[in-house]
Amino acid sequence: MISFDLQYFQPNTIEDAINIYEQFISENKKPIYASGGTEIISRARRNEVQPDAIIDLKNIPGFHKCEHKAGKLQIGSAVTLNHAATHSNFPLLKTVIQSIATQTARNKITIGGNLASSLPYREAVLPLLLTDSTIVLATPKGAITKNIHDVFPFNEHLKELELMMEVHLDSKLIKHPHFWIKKTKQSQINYPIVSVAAMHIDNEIRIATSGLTANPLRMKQLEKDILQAVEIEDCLDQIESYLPSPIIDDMIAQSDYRLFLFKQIIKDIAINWKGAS
Amino acid sequence: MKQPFTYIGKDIKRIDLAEKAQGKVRYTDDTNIAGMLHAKLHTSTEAHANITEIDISKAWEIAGVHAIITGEDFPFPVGPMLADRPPLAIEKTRYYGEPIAIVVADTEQQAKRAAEQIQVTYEPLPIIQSPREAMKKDAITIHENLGSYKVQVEGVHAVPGTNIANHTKIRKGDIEQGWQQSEVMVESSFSFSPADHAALEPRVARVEILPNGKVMVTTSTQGPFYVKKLLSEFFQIDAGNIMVHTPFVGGAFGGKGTVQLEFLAYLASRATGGKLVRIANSREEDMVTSPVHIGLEATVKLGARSDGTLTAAHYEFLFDGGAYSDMGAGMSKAAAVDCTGPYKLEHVSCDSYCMYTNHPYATSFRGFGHPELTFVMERMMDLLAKKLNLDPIQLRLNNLIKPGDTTPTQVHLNASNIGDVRACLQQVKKSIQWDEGQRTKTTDGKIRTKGVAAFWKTSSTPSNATAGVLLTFNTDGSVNLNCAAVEIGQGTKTVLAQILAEKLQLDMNKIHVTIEVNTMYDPHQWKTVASSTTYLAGRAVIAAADDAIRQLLQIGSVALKCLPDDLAVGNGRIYLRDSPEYFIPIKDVATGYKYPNGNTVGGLIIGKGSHVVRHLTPIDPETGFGKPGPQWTVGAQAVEVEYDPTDCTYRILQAATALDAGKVINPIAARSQMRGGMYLGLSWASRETFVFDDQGKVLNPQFRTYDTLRLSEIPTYKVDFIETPLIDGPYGARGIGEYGVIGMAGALANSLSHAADAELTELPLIPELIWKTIKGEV
Repeated sequence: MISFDLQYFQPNTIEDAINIYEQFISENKKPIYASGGTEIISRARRNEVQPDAIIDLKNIPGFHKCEHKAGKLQIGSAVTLNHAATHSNFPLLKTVIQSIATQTARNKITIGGNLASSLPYREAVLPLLLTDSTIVLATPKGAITKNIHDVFPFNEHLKELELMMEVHLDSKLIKHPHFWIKKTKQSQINYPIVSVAAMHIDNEIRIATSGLTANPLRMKQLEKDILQAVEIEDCLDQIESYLPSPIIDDMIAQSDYRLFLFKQIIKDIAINWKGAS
Repeated sequence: MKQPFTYIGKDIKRIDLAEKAQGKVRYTDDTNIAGMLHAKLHTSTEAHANITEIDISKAWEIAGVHAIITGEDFPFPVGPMLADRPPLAIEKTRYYGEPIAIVVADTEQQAKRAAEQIQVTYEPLPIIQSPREAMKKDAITIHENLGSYKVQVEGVHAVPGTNIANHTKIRKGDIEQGWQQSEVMVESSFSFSPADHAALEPRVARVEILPNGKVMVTTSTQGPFYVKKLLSEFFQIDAGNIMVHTPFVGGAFGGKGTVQLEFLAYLASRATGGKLVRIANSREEDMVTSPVHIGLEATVKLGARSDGTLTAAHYEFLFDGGAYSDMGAGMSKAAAVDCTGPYKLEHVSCDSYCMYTNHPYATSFRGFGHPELTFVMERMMDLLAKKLNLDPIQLRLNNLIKPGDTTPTQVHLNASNIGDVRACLQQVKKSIQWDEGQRTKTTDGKIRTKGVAAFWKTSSTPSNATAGVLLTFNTDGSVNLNCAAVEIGQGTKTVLAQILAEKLQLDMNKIHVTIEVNTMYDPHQWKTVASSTTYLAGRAVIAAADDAIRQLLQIGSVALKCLPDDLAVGNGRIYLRDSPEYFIPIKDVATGYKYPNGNTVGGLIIGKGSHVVRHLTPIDPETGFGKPGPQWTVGAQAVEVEYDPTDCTYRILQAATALDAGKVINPIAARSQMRGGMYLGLSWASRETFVFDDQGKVLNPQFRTYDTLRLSEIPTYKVDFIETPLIDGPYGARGIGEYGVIGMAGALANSLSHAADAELTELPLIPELIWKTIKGEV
């Protein structure tokens, strides 16, 4: 049960959504965009988030596309995880998504919601980071397109009135060989201690990870190291120095165990890739 | 010759099957009553602090608020064994999540909003987070007035000036002599933190005080009469003026065997002039504010001859009872009286303590101290086997307790009061295919290992634990069975109906069991706990059936013009033994037998019966001498895992139980009971625990972070029963409800210790713990 009062809006256009958001900001109030609402409801119960307004994006047609068009896979931010898993035809995305939360929750959680989550994991972003996706943002001045590496994590890079509308990625990339592993404290359904997604694209290996640090990461330097390494072990020692923030140390796992698992996964991926190429 | 049974020993489907399968069952909180008020708690954000001020003024500003209650409104401690807990914290708070104030309002939302507006000023105190810390000489005393608390149950020994809520001592034989006889010794320490019961239905209670003074309670509890008893004692209400109603209970696991929300709901109703008030736990409150599964730190020393014969054992159990003793005091005693597990030991000493800490307080958990002591003892047996280079099962077989031996509290065992643990262990050895190898490697580099545990348990019932049954008859000749045993999902009412069906030789469809319990209509029953209901209520059913049969035969003899001894009851008839074709249907006598001319004799047939445990005694405070429970059910369990040495993860492949059930009344239900127990035990042992920060705050009071075993992760279960009758059990049956849980942690830890080649001494057995144990960091 949510104890505080809030206003609820269900606009039909992006313009309306942004206008409502802007209105609340101008009144020094806290609006929040929502679609699935799983995080908002569960956290508002405990007053961990206390929005003055919820702007529900479900009714806006432009947020629901999930199709291959003009050589691009295009997914709207209000597409649910389960819908994206079954309709994107992107094997890695399907695998990654299906390890998030539960079937019931995935019927509600959306791609945009997962990417904008306040939790560190946001695993749906990993395949998008690997495929160098672009993000279409709704802004008061209209839609703009940006490279995902320039706007993710959203909490650090998005401006106040920018809202993720769609993600686009090259359709040619989706069938490349992939690798996915998620290590948990115990039950598979738990949040990851660390999870790693990798793809083999044009004689390269691409690696992205979640759970290791405060934000999901694309590990470009590590990818290069693996490409050049004679011995896999040589790459592993450098890993810590590539991380932009400390390794998470919390009730799910201590940092030394996290790092141990991450290195082990990287080793497996690298050996696997060397064997394949 | 084996006595043939019609209903006993048969796979009879549970009587509440259709309602449950169709989701038609109404649990306590599935009822919305017009005019009902809602209570919400303001709970402590500190684990140990003086409360210097409670400012409720802002809360009163919220619309719809009827009452705000704080500790000062009822400054008297309550508790089942030692009255040490104010229902609302007063002067100080002793755990994170402790109730500090209740707000009663028109809606739950208003109550919650107002509760959030209450401002409490704290003055932090040092926090005790482990029972060993609590034992230290210089530790802060969590209960300064320990000496003044009223002892509710004889045998609770608190030590004023310390953090000891109970100390139970066992001194059997001569421990020094035992050590002298020992050629090998092993010593080790073990620990685990408190965890949750994780019942699906959170606790909930409603109370209304009628203008005539009657206190009407509806609550999800394992002890409706216990709620009545404690409300009467602590609030000075005549017991006859309290009515407790318990619908179906949605899982309990011991967590609903005590009283908490009922006190708060009563105070809330009283503060509103007797209005109907509901208080329902959120999941977080159910996990942290309401009582939890106990934690433990233990140190054990075992001595043996070089051939593996046990010679002496010393146990120190420091239970983490949390901020209040509740049933923790009882569990620390229960673990002491059965400390050795099912092994013959002449020289035993045990000091078992229930320690106060600044953790949420503990109450009974399925197994009542035994899953805990068995984890410790069974790890010790494997450590000893390893040291002696003996097969772990062989070491156990060499030492099993049997009729003629004595328990740690010196109860003489005979062919009835203990089951056949040897047969159980041999069965489980077969089930887990022990002889195919305890440790094997798979082609993909994984390691498969097996671990075993043997266990026993007696029920820590009070020496006057009782149950009663009332039978009434319908005009169609069917029978109504009324009994205060609570249906918590364990199928107790189906088993009681089967016992009645057998006694009356009456079709199960003709037996109508009232599933809900109401203390106004049902005869008194202690509680539905301690695997005691089939025994206590089952015996009461037999007594009530005998009473009804006696009456039926008497009226039947009038109708059939013969002596009662000429007659028998069966198939809904009273018939002549030697000529069953001469009979009268029960329906024709159940409400009085009417002659053709209209004259009627006999009146209503009403069967009544009760049973009470006998010859139980409190135990001697210095030696533990005494009889703590009616009988010992025994069993053995085994677990097989597949362990991945690269990252210390594992899968549980198989779990097996062999239990001496005395007599299995409903095999399919009993097997499910064992599977459920194994599930609970494996879930607890492999992943369930509260995680505390350094301020004593629980970091995972939600299912998203409090891990439980998932359906996709359960092993293949194997269940077998041995039947060594309990002579005074109903049809020879022993209590079996809790037993599936007891050996799981020990068996899993033994299996994983073999797999990882590291001695695991903590729970839960998560991969990170194994990794650290291998690295020597534990």
